[in-house]
Amino acid sequence: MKYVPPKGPKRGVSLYSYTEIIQLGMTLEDCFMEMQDMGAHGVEILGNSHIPGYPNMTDEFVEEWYRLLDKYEIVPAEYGHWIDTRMFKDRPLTVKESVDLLTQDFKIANKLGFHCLRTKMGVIDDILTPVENWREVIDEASPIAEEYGVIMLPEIHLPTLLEHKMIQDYVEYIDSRNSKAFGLNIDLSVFTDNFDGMFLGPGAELRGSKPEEIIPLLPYVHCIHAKFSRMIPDPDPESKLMFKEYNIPYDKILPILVENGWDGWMVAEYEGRDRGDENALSEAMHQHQILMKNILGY
Amino acid sequence: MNEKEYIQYRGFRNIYDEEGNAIGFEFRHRLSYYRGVWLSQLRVGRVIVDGEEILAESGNITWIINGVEYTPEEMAKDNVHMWEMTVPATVRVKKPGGLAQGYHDIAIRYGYTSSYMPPIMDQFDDSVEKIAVFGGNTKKRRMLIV
Repeated sequence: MKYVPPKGPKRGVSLYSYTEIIQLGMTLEDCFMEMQDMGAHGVEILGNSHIPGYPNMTDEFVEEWYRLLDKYEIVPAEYGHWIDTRMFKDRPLTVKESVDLLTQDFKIANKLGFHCLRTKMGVIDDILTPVENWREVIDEASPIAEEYGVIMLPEIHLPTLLEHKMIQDYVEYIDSRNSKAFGLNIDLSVFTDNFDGMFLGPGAELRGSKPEEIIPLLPYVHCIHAKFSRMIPDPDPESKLMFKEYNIPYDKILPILVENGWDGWMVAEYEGRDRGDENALSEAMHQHQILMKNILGY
Repeated sequence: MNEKEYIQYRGFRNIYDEEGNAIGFEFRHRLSYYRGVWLSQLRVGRVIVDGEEILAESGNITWIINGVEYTPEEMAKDNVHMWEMTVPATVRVKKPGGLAQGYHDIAIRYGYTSSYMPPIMDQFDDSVEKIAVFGGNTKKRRMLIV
């Protein structure tokens, strides 16, 4: 029986979580096996990280990709890529160079069956304001994205908060062009309500957005990064969730997604300090999926 | 199979000219980042062998990535080829006579840009005492040469 994803928020995994072990030899098949164990059916890969020979993807890789998707009931959820605006030491990338990089990834993502792209744009300050020419780049890339059936999603990540101007700029951009090629990826780090033990960049204010602030943005959100850094046993004796994310209130965020009819993949992104330890990593991945499964009920 | 240490034991050896004279040494190291980087994003720093510093601009350091040997200047202009996160690069150092049999302390410095992070976080400085978030640190290993 072929796997059919449910409507609503769906559990997935970003292979970013497995980076340190992949660097030592963990394979795509190993990752998919663990995902199937956990019932996490959506995968995010990163072009630069998980495609051998990138950007020159081989036919053999594509064949193996589809064989493994089928064998382990995995669905392509999101493809991560970058506009590396600081590519050269002496000058930023031009609009054309940026669009060429994007186009290269649109083609790869399309071949691998991805629709959502987590598009990382270059930034110019500590709260991650994008490069000045981002509208020109996205304007030029959008028809090409539509041709390849993909949508570019900048990732909103702490220290950016949902109230920051760039979010409104993105929403206005999408509305003004009625864009089908541009949307948002929200990283759950923006809802951090406990900063104990967090790694923080220079722009951090030690506060997060309130979970309900996502509601007006949901029509623009096509994928979510289910960020987690530290899983603990749920301290609430009445709770049936079994685990809790120490820094991010999953029990408040996920019900909002369900109640507001959001439909999409939440790909797990583990940032724990122990993720170079394969035992600790697999345990944390399982704990996090149990938490999400117990909130969602599936 | 990659070793957990960034500097790999496998691949550490002297290199020889056609007459059999040792003209330097080489070692392999893997990328300390979660994604491959375009060569022009790399900031190649110094190699330190038993306390002797060999600067990137000395003309005595090249990197071999996917079988192609690059000078630091060539890498700075190349935004077409990538150093993949699972494929170690070989660092080749010219040093007449190579390294003597026995233990050697090998260290390397490099950085890379990360355009989506605050600009202040990826400013690479090759001074050994400076640590930057993105790779601007020193990877070290003590290894034997036979």
